[in-house]
Amino acid sequence: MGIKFPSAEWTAAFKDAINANDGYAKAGAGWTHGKVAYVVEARPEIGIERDTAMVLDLHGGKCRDAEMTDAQGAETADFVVRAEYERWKEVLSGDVDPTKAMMQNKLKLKKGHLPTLLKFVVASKQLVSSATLVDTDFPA
Amino acid sequence: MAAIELAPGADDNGLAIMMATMMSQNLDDHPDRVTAFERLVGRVAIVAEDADVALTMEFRGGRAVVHDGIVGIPDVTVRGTAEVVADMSRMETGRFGLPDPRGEVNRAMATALRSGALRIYGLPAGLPLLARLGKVLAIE
Repeated sequence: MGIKFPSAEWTAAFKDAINANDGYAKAGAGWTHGKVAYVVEARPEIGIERDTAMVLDLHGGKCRDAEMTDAQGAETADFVVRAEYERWKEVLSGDVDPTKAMMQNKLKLKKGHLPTLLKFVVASKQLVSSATLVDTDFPA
Repeated sequence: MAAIELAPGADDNGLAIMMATMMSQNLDDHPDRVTAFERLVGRVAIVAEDADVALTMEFRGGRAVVHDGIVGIPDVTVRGTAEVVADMSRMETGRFGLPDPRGEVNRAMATALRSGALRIYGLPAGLPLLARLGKVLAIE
Protein backbone atom coordinates (compact mmCIF):
# COMPACT_ATOMS: atom_id res chain seq x y z
CA MET A 1 0.00 0.00 0.00
CA GLY A 2 1.52 3.28 -1.11
CA ILE A 3 1.09 6.81 0.13
CA LYS A 4 -2.07 8.53 -1.01
CA PHE A 5 -1.63 11.35 -3.53
CA PRO A 6 -2.20 14.20 -2.87
CA SER A 7 -1.65 14.29 0.89
CA ALA A 8 0.61 15.79 3.53
CA GLU A 9 2.32 12.39 3.86
CA TRP A 10 2.99 12.23 0.13
CA THR A 11 4.36 15.77 0.17
CA ALA A 12 6.76 14.85 3.00
CA ALA A 13 7.85 11.69 1.14
CA PHE A 14 8.36 13.77 -2.01
CA LYS A 15 10.64 16.12 -0.08
CA ASP A 16 12.69 13.17 1.18
CA ALA A 17 12.90 11.72 -2.34
CA ILE A 18 14.13 15.05 -3.74
CA ASN A 19 16.80 15.30 -1.06
CA ALA A 20 17.94 11.74 -1.78
CA ASN A 21 18.27 12.43 -5.51
CA ASP A 22 21.85 13.28 -6.49
CA GLY A 23 20.63 14.19 -9.97
CA TYR A 24 18.45 16.93 -8.54
CA ALA A 25 21.22 18.12 -6.20
CA LYS A 26 23.40 18.67 -9.27
CA ALA A 27 20.80 20.04 -11.70
CA GLY A 28 19.14 22.26 -9.12
CA ALA A 29 22.33 23.53 -7.49
CA GLY A 30 21.91 26.95 -9.06
CA TRP A 31 18.25 27.31 -8.11
CA THR A 32 17.86 30.33 -5.84
CA HIS A 33 14.62 31.56 -7.35
CA GLY A 34 12.17 30.65 -4.64
CA LYS A 35 9.35 28.30 -3.88
CA VAL A 36 7.53 26.17 -6.42
CA ALA A 37 3.90 25.15 -5.97
CA TYR A 38 2.17 22.25 -7.71
CA VAL A 39 -1.59 22.77 -7.65
CA VAL A 40 -3.89 19.79 -8.13
CA GLU A 41 -7.33 20.90 -9.26
CA ALA A 42 -10.34 19.72 -7.26
CA ARG A 43 -11.87 16.34 -8.17
CA PRO A 44 -14.58 15.73 -5.52
CA GLU A 45 -15.59 12.38 -7.00
CA ILE A 46 -12.22 10.89 -5.99
CA GLY A 47 -11.96 12.73 -2.70
CA ILE A 48 -10.09 15.87 -3.75
CA GLU A 49 -12.70 18.29 -2.50
CA ARG A 50 -10.84 21.48 -3.29
CA ASP A 51 -7.77 22.67 -5.13
CA THR A 52 -4.79 21.20 -3.30
CA ALA A 53 -1.21 22.42 -3.50
CA MET A 54 2.24 21.18 -2.61
CA VAL A 55 4.62 24.04 -1.98
CA LEU A 56 8.29 23.11 -2.27
CA ASP A 57 10.92 25.39 -0.78
CA LEU A 58 13.74 24.58 -3.18
CA HIS A 59 17.17 26.11 -2.80
CA GLY A 60 20.64 25.17 -3.99
CA GLY A 61 19.75 21.64 -5.05
CA LYS A 62 17.84 20.77 -1.90
CA CYS A 63 14.24 20.88 -0.75
CA ARG A 64 14.34 22.82 2.50
CA ASP A 65 10.67 22.36 3.23
CA ALA A 66 7.52 21.02 1.66
CA GLU A 67 3.99 21.62 2.77
CA MET A 68 0.54 20.76 1.59
CA THR A 69 -1.81 23.67 1.38
CA ASP A 70 -4.68 25.05 -0.67
CA ALA A 71 -4.75 27.16 -3.82
CA GLN A 72 -4.58 30.35 -1.80
CA GLY A 73 -1.53 29.07 0.05
CA ALA A 74 0.09 28.23 -3.26
CA GLU A 75 0.01 31.89 -4.22
CA THR A 76 2.79 32.54 -1.71
CA ALA A 77 5.12 30.58 -4.00
CA ASP A 78 7.22 32.26 -6.66
CA PHE A 79 6.21 29.68 -9.28
CA VAL A 80 2.78 28.08 -9.51
CA VAL A 81 2.14 25.15 -11.83
CA ARG A 82 -1.44 23.99 -12.08
CA ALA A 83 -3.04 20.90 -13.61
CA GLU A 84 -5.91 18.46 -13.35
CA TYR A 85 -5.40 15.41 -11.15
CA GLU A 86 -5.06 13.06 -14.15
CA ARG A 87 -2.32 15.20 -15.66
CA TRP A 88 -0.33 15.19 -12.41
CA LYS A 89 -0.75 11.43 -12.25
CA GLU A 90 0.73 11.10 -15.75
CA VAL A 91 3.64 13.40 -15.00
CA LEU A 92 4.46 12.22 -11.48
CA SER A 93 4.30 8.59 -12.60
CA GLY A 94 6.94 9.39 -15.19
CA ASP A 95 4.59 8.59 -18.08
CA VAL A 96 4.67 12.11 -19.54
CA ASP A 97 7.64 14.46 -19.67
CA PRO A 98 6.87 17.73 -17.81
CA THR A 99 8.13 19.93 -20.65
CA LYS A 100 6.01 18.05 -23.15
CA ALA A 101 3.02 18.32 -20.79
CA MET A 102 3.52 22.08 -20.63
CA MET A 103 3.68 22.31 -24.42
CA GLN A 104 0.43 20.37 -24.57
CA ASN A 105 -1.11 22.76 -22.02
CA LYS A 106 -1.64 19.88 -19.61
CA LEU A 107 0.57 21.62 -17.06
CA LYS A 108 -0.02 25.36 -16.84
CA LEU A 109 2.40 27.88 -15.44
CA LYS A 110 0.09 30.28 -13.64
CA LYS A 111 2.76 32.33 -11.92
CA GLY A 112 6.47 32.77 -12.35
CA HIS A 113 9.23 33.58 -14.78
CA LEU A 114 9.18 31.06 -17.64
CA PRO A 115 12.74 31.70 -18.88
CA THR A 116 14.04 30.83 -15.41
CA LEU A 117 11.97 27.68 -15.31
CA LEU A 118 13.21 26.60 -18.74
CA LYS A 119 16.78 27.29 -17.72
CA PHE A 120 16.25 24.64 -15.05
CA VAL A 121 14.43 22.17 -17.26
CA VAL A 122 16.81 19.38 -16.26
CA ALA A 123 16.15 20.10 -12.59
CA SER A 124 12.40 19.98 -13.29
CA LYS A 125 12.84 16.54 -14.78
CA GLN A 126 14.83 15.43 -11.76
CA LEU A 127 11.99 16.60 -9.51
CA VAL A 128 9.67 14.35 -11.47
CA SER A 129 12.20 11.51 -11.25
CA SER A 130 12.16 12.00 -7.49
CA ALA A 131 8.37 11.75 -7.47
CA THR A 132 8.45 8.44 -9.33
CA LEU A 133 10.46 6.98 -6.45
CA VAL A 134 7.68 7.67 -3.97
CA ASP A 135 5.50 4.60 -3.48
CA THR A 136 2.30 6.35 -4.51
CA ASP A 137 -1.30 5.31 -4.21
CA PHE A 138 -3.28 7.28 -6.79
CA PRO A 139 -6.99 7.29 -5.86
CA ALA A 140 -8.12 6.89 -9.47
CA MET B 1 6.79 47.86 -25.27
CA ALA B 2 6.75 44.91 -27.69
CA ALA B 3 3.34 43.83 -28.97
CA ILE B 4 3.05 40.07 -28.63
CA GLU B 5 -0.30 38.39 -28.79
CA LEU B 6 -1.92 35.01 -29.15
CA ALA B 7 -4.16 34.56 -32.17
CA PRO B 8 -7.69 33.28 -31.54
CA GLY B 9 -7.51 29.56 -30.79
CA ALA B 10 -3.88 29.66 -29.68
CA ASP B 11 -4.74 30.08 -26.00
CA ASP B 12 -5.18 26.30 -25.67
CA ASN B 13 -1.81 25.60 -27.27
CA GLY B 14 0.75 25.26 -24.48
CA LEU B 15 3.71 25.71 -26.81
CA ALA B 16 2.18 28.91 -28.22
CA ILE B 17 1.60 30.22 -24.70
CA MET B 18 5.19 29.34 -23.77
CA MET B 19 6.67 31.10 -26.81
CA ALA B 20 4.57 34.24 -26.35
CA THR B 21 5.44 34.33 -22.64
CA MET B 22 9.13 33.73 -23.33
CA MET B 23 9.29 36.57 -25.85
CA SER B 24 7.42 38.95 -23.62
CA GLN B 25 9.37 38.20 -20.42
CA ASN B 26 12.73 38.12 -22.21
CA LEU B 27 12.12 41.50 -23.82
CA ASP B 28 11.09 42.93 -20.44
CA ASP B 29 14.29 41.51 -18.91
CA HIS B 30 16.56 42.50 -21.80
CA PRO B 31 15.50 45.79 -23.43
CA ASP B 32 18.65 45.53 -25.57
CA ARG B 33 16.92 42.73 -27.50
CA VAL B 34 14.00 44.92 -28.59
CA THR B 35 15.92 46.03 -31.68
CA ALA B 36 16.37 42.42 -32.78
CA PHE B 37 12.66 41.82 -32.13
CA GLU B 38 11.64 44.85 -34.18
CA ARG B 39 13.73 43.61 -37.10
CA LEU B 40 11.89 40.29 -37.19
CA VAL B 41 9.73 40.02 -40.30
CA GLY B 42 8.35 36.71 -41.52
CA ARG B 43 6.87 33.48 -40.23
CA VAL B 44 8.57 30.81 -38.14
CA ALA B 45 6.81 27.53 -37.50
CA ILE B 46 7.76 25.12 -34.73
CA VAL B 47 6.53 21.56 -34.55
CA ALA B 48 7.09 19.52 -31.38
CA GLU B 49 6.43 16.21 -33.04
CA ASP B 50 6.16 13.88 -30.04
CA ALA B 51 3.89 16.37 -28.27
CA ASP B 52 1.70 16.69 -31.36
CA VAL B 53 1.80 20.48 -31.05
CA ALA B 54 2.64 23.11 -33.65
CA LEU B 55 2.63 26.87 -33.85
CA THR B 56 3.45 29.67 -36.22
CA MET B 57 5.00 32.93 -35.08
CA GLU B 58 4.15 35.73 -37.42
CA PHE B 59 6.46 38.73 -37.13
CA ARG B 60 5.52 42.09 -38.56
CA GLY B 61 8.38 44.32 -37.46
CA GLY B 62 7.70 45.13 -33.82
CA ARG B 63 4.60 42.99 -33.56
CA ALA B 64 4.26 39.23 -33.13
CA VAL B 65 1.19 37.06 -33.42
CA VAL B 66 1.46 33.45 -32.28
CA HIS B 67 -0.94 31.11 -34.07
CA ASP B 68 -2.04 27.57 -33.27
CA GLY B 69 -0.76 25.15 -35.92
CA ILE B 70 0.86 25.98 -39.23
CA VAL B 71 -0.60 29.20 -40.61
CA GLY B 72 0.43 30.58 -43.99
CA ILE B 73 3.74 29.63 -45.58
CA PRO B 74 6.51 29.71 -43.00
CA ASP B 75 9.88 31.15 -43.96
CA VAL B 76 11.50 28.78 -41.48
CA THR B 77 10.14 25.56 -40.02
CA VAL B 78 11.72 23.82 -37.06
CA ARG B 79 10.69 20.24 -36.38
CA GLY B 80 11.89 18.13 -33.48
CA THR B 81 11.05 16.45 -30.24
CA ALA B 82 9.62 18.52 -27.38
CA GLU B 83 12.91 18.16 -25.54
CA VAL B 84 14.96 19.49 -28.46
CA VAL B 85 12.53 22.34 -29.07
CA ALA B 86 12.74 23.35 -25.40
CA ASP B 87 16.53 23.15 -25.52
CA MET B 88 16.71 25.63 -28.40
CA SER B 89 16.23 28.53 -26.01
CA ARG B 90 18.98 27.19 -23.75
CA MET B 91 21.69 27.27 -26.41
CA GLU B 92 24.87 28.78 -25.04
CA THR B 93 26.12 31.96 -26.67
CA GLY B 94 29.83 32.51 -27.18
CA ARG B 95 31.86 35.26 -28.79
CA PHE B 96 30.13 37.72 -31.12
CA GLY B 97 26.76 36.36 -30.08
CA LEU B 98 27.32 33.11 -31.96
CA PRO B 99 26.52 29.67 -30.50
CA ASP B 100 29.37 28.39 -28.36
CA PRO B 101 30.40 25.01 -29.84
CA ARG B 102 31.70 23.90 -26.44
CA GLY B 103 28.31 24.35 -24.76
CA GLU B 104 26.62 21.21 -23.47
CA VAL B 105 23.24 22.14 -24.94
CA ASN B 106 24.80 23.22 -28.24
CA ARG B 107 26.58 19.89 -28.58
CA ALA B 108 23.30 18.10 -27.92
CA MET B 109 21.64 20.26 -30.58
CA ALA B 110 24.38 19.45 -33.09
CA THR B 111 23.87 15.75 -32.38
CA ALA B 112 20.11 16.20 -32.82
CA LEU B 113 20.67 17.90 -36.17
CA ARG B 114 22.97 15.12 -37.37
CA SER B 115 20.59 12.37 -36.22
CA GLY B 116 17.49 14.02 -37.66
CA ALA B 117 15.91 14.52 -34.23
CA LEU B 118 15.97 18.23 -35.14
CA ARG B 119 15.24 19.44 -38.66
CA ILE B 120 15.24 23.04 -39.84
CA TYR B 121 13.68 23.93 -43.18
CA GLY B 122 14.06 27.25 -44.97
CA LEU B 123 17.80 27.71 -44.59
CA PRO B 124 19.98 29.42 -45.59
CA ALA B 125 17.48 32.10 -46.68
CA GLY B 126 15.83 32.09 -43.26
CA LEU B 127 19.05 32.19 -41.26
CA PRO B 128 18.90 35.92 -40.36
CA LEU B 129 15.30 35.50 -39.19
CA LEU B 130 16.19 32.45 -37.11
CA ALA B 131 19.31 34.09 -35.66
CA ARG B 132 17.35 37.17 -34.56
CA LEU B 133 14.63 35.00 -33.05
CA GLY B 134 17.29 33.00 -31.24
CA LYS B 135 18.60 36.20 -29.72
CA VAL B 136 15.13 37.23 -28.55
CA LEU B 137 14.38 33.82 -27.03
CA ALA B 138 17.78 33.04 -25.52
CA ILE B 139 17.94 32.27 -21.83
CA GLU B 140 21.07 33.43 -20.06
